[in-house]
Amino acid sequence: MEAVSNTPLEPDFLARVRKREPGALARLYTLYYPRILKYVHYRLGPEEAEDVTGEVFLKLLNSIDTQSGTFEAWLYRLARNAVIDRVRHRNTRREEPLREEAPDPTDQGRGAHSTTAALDVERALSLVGEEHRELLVLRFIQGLSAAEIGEITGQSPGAVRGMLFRALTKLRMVLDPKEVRE
Amino acid sequence: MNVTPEILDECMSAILAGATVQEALAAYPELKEELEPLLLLGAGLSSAPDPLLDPAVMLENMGRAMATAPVPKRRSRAAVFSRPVFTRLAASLAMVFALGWGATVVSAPAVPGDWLYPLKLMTERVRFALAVNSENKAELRIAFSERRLVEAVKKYDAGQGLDPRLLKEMLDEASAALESVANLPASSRDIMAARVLSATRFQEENLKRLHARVTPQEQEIIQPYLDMCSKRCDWMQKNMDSTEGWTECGTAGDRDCPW
Repeated sequence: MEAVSNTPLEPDFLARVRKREPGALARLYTLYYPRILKYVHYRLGPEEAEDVTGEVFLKLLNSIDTQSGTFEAWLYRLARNAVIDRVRHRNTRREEPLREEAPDPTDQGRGAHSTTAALDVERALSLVGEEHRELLVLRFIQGLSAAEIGEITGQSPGAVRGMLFRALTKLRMVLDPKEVRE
Repeated sequence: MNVTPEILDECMSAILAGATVQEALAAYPELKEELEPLLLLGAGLSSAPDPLLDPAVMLENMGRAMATAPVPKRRSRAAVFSRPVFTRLAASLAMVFALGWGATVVSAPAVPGDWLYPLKLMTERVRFALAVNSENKAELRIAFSERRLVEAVKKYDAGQGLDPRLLKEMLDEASAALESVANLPASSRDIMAARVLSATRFQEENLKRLHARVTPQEQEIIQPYLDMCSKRCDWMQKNMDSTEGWTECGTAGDRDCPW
């Protein structure tokens, strides 16, 4: 996965998005929609991914005029907040906790492309807490650096690295060793 | 020496940049036993497959966001026309090819005077040309007719005055819809005629509301269109209720067809 920070954007790209120029909007969606969809997919699961991703882009267009700082970090914060809202909503309705259960292996209709990966990523992520899951998704699935993650979560890069270390160590402990292979 | 968060991060950065786990481990052979399982796990996570992306859903989301997002501050007229015409035309065509159906969605909120409005009309013509039968054509005509009314109201609400051309086009499109209805088989004609009647009632109601809040001069402009909608509704209702069956306009006994 291409790191967001490596995405070359034209200097006037955001100005064109703010003016709702169709070409810029098409590029915005082409560049970022798949990434945010993937982020939400592995945070919430496939059932709500498209819906929440749609909400994120709606918020983006509604608040782009007040955007400041790094665009990618801001966009990920929107996505992060949308995920948190959805989790809170679920908890309020006393539904099942977020992805506590492993996904049904027979339900592949709206899932990720391949089920042949060495590691069942969705199952693995369901085994750690929400805070650790967020960092694992941002670092390993989205390919962001500790500094970029810190900009999104409001933590220092050192704190992010420490939490990632603990998250990976915990995951290793709870996973069957046979599942962790190259 | 133990594995630290910094060492793990350094090795994972190498893996995310394309190195294998063994290549990343080469810098820390003494930590292999402890580090390798963590790197294998990180590499496994990084190979997570992409979720299926449904372009239709993406375009639908895009259209919804465009429709509800606040309209950016308008350029001055001089600034709009200072842009090369061909650039705007090329951008419109690029949109049609790049987004396909999305072009329709993006341009949907446009009203006359917006630079996306020609794109909206163009996509309407393309859709009409691609309509496969009279039923689809009638449906599109009804939709276009309703759009013209919505545009007229939006334009008025935006302080751009009343545009009688849009009201005329509204009536013309509804008229064309009824012509398409006449070509339909009896089984679907009644359903589509009911749709035309419903659309005309919708127009009549909205014109009445508009009529109630405009100036007396503007009321005079609206009145003939309102009267025409009322006549059409009455005629449609009588025609549909008639025991003699559907009577086309221009034929004997067409009950003074106002279409």
